[in-house]
Amino acid sequence: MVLTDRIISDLQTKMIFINKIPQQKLTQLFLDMCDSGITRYIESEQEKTPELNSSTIMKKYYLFLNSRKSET
Amino acid sequence: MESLYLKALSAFISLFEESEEKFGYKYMLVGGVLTSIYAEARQTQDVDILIQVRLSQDSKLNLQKIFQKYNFQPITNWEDVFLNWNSNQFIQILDPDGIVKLDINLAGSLPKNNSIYEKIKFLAFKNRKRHKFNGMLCWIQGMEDFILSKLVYGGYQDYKDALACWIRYNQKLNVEYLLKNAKELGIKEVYQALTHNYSVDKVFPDD
Repeated sequence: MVLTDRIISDLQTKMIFINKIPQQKLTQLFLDMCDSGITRYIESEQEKTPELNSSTIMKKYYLFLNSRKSET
Repeated sequence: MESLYLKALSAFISLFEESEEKFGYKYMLVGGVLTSIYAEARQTQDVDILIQVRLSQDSKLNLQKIFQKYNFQPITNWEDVFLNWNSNQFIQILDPDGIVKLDINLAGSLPKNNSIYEKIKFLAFKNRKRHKFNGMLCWIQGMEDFILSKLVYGGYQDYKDALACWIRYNQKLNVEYLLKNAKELGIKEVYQALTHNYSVDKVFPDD
């Protein structure tokens, strides 16, 4: 993905709106985004391996990320 | 339903507030967790933190005790958590539910070398700020240091976060501080690209 001039222009417009939103709402949006990412990942893995609990799934994911980092 | 991420973050903040009060280990939140405050909120599955701690056996025991007191979990086992901790200056643990990862970057008492990664750690501690994150008082990296450290690390997402902060807080940023330290950190070129709102493809054509 490339951050093009068009995306920069969109980012500038987005910041005008973001600066009008109270910080508490922005924080809540951030928390919702993080939760949604984690939950969706756990649910998709539990469909494949229902015997694994959430913590085991996330531990496996972090180990995978670490192994990829050490390869690069 | 309680937020998974917020629950983990609250536990991390409680732990580091206590370790600062008890042992004097200064800390601050850095990285993606600050995007809703300084840039454009984006999803992350971990929490990044920087702590200043003497890299000794005593500190290791203190940290281990406090991690266990708060029921934090290792990804594999506690021995692995502290394997090469003082040479890598890095520790990873999980929140008490074993879901959210905490990446802890360590700064010793003095910079271990002359690299820009060490320089930015020590610079950032001088300007950390007290912030109320969803009602929890905690220490966070200052706005200018958020930009500088993103430019030091220099990946696609880092540059995008720095640019979003630059655009969002353009009138509030201390540009003299930014320029002075961008020069000292050897990132003046990329900083100037940022101040002209250049897109990532112009700054990192190979990314």
